[in-house]
Amino acid sequence: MNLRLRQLDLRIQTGEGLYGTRIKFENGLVLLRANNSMGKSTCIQAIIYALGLEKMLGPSNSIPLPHVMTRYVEDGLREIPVLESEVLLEIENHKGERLAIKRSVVGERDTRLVTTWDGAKITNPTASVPQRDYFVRDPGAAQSESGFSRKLAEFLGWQLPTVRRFNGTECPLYLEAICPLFIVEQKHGWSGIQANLPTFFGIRDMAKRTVEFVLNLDAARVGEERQQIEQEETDLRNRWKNLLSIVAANMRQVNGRVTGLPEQPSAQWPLSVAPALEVFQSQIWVGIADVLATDKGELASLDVTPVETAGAASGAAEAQLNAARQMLSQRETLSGELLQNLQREEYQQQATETRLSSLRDDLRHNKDALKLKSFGSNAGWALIEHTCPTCQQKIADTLLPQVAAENPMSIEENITFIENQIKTFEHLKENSVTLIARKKSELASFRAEIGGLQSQIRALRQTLVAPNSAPSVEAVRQRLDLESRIRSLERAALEFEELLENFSEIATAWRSLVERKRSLPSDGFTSTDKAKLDRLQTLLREQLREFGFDSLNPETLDISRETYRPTREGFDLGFDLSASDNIRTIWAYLQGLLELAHETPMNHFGLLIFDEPRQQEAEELSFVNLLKRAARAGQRGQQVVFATSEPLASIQGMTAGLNPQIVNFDGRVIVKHS
Amino acid sequence: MEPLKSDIEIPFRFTERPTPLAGDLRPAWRIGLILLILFYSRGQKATLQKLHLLNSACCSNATRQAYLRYARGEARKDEIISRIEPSLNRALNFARGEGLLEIEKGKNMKLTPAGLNAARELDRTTDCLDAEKAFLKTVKPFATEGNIEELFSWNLTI
Repeated sequence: MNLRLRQLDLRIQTGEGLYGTRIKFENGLVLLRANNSMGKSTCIQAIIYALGLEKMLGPSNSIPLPHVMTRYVEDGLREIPVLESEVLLEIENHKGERLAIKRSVVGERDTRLVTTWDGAKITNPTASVPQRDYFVRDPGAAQSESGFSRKLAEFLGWQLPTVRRFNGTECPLYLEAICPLFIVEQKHGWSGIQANLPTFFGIRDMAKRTVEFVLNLDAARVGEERQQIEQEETDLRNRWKNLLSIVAANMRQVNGRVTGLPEQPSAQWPLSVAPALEVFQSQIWVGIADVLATDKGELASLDVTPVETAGAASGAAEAQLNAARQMLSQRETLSGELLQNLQREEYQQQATETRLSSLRDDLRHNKDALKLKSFGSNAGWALIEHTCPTCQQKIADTLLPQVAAENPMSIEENITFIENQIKTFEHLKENSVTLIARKKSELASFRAEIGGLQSQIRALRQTLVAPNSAPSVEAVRQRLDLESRIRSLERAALEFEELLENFSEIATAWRSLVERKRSLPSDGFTSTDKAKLDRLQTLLREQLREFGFDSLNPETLDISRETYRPTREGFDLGFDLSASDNIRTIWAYLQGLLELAHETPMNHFGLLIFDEPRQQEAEELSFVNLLKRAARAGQRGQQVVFATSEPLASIQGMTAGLNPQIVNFDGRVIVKHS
Repeated sequence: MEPLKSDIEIPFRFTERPTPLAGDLRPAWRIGLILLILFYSRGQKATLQKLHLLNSACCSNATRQAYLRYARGEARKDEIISRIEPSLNRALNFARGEGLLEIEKGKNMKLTPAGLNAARELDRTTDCLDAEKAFLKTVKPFATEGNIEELFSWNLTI
């Protein structure tokens, strides 16, 4: 998982001969020294260019190299036009394999093509090694077989993770997104950690994803697994809900209901109390088995007696008709009341719903306000201390007119206040949901009963007007009714038994899901992850102390578990820092990653390139300490390359005893080949 | 009557309790929103009426949805109710006092460098004003001063 630079050649063909430069790189600290605007940055940019990573310098398709590589070479006061130019770079991986890369800048060759040799073709031009062309910059360079990014990832032994983009598609985590953690170029690189992130790729949470990949955290996998589980949970919930509504629909047909089935999937199956089927009869709920038994008994007793004739039945029918009419009007009144009741309850529920949604909105506002309060206090806003920023008078924490302002609650109190209200209203809502469901099924039973009474009345009337010798219509109706009721009750019970199988199946799946969920680390981080982040935090604080970071106490800085960046009380450092402390933070963070990569398996080049790390005139003392720390890279088999314009003597003084490789250019870096 | 009178004739006192306040009436919340509105505006500046309109559009999920529907051409103008809230003006004053924004040519509110810094930081902070950020990002291309002016002048004619 390693990449070392071995040799960089810049070759520029002009009408007046070959110009260029050659730099050999050893392990450990390498210092490229030259005065300003003599071509150091050209070398760093050329390395980026050779690796096909120029998209980390911006979305433009133009060649990210200065005029010396593209238009004219300066020699003394003369400007000599460039005819052809190319960059050659040789790198080595953790297995000691070499890869030679040649990329043309000006000339006939397409600049999107990169020629590579699987061997040390640049340090040893006579070597006979396989050559192959790859393309860069085109979409697909990271995925396609002949894309250079993919070749490079293979050479490093990396498996680039797939990430989501804002437009909903997926793509590999491009090397250009990862490399700002290893290479800091001079122009924009020092404005912050990962300042050169190619945001135009539209990758979601790109900064976080890259650090996650480089640190090789399990958190990404855990996060994916959690998402997967949530998805399956939703599926199971929906299936459970569908089953419930099928059961309810089946039971409605027989004026029945199911009790004891949980609303949500249950991991416990069979349930400790078996679900029961009940039928609404004469204003109470009766178990289906009892209803069936009574009905069957009644039918049996009817079966043994012959059907009455209308004449015989007429006496009783008169009385029955009266009773049935009375019952009907009573039931109609009751169902009317129930309907009104139900509508009131539904209206109530709707109101509760509206109230809940506005409470939730307000809760979110309050939580945001709390976060903003600590954000503002970090930024030093006066009004967070309840002081007017202009006149320094005391003000209340409100945007209502100050004169009328009562004493508002603190935001924390306010949040508790709203949360309690939400709890109450949610309780209300739950109650009213159950109440409505119960009322609905009662109403349905009433209606069915009314239907039954109406047909009974019809039959009784027919019995009364029929010839005496004809069979009593009411008696026949009663039997038919009873028979069909028994049939449908039995069918409903049978269907329910069958559906229980499905419930059991979901419950099993739910149980295994619950177990899978339980096995995930609760905060999303495995213990290895935590150890890595803790260690990175230690390395960061340790270096910041060494580098003389003084905007804040380094001990108050953490590596955020959300963004993996240095934060203080949950906020990015950003504008809390002086410019030079910002630079120190970048040094410490990136070098922390490099050092950590030696201690634990990570996806790191094992290489760090800083172009002009002594930006913003960070004091000499801290720069010396940076050099000291960086020089240890050699012992770890890593490589740290700094391009700097410090005077040679001062560099030699600062690195005395550190034994770095100093590549010094007294004049221009790019000169005529002798 | 007498026993009732004696019942209430006991010494009593009032204790002032703090009153709850809607979260969007906290200065910090609203300044955060202002920073974001300006951050997502062209040139990091906006007129007072744009600020008022987007402020009221951001007010709740329903208003945000209504505004988005309007931006997509799926809603009529009268479905957008833009309110002029005095609280926004107070928040703007506070923000100006904090040196986060300045008034440009007496017309536009513009982020100062400090304000821009804070806005950028806020934009990066996760889990804070997320719904508002997403909304502002989506309406950015639509929320031009011209379109705002059109909505506003229409509102004034009714």
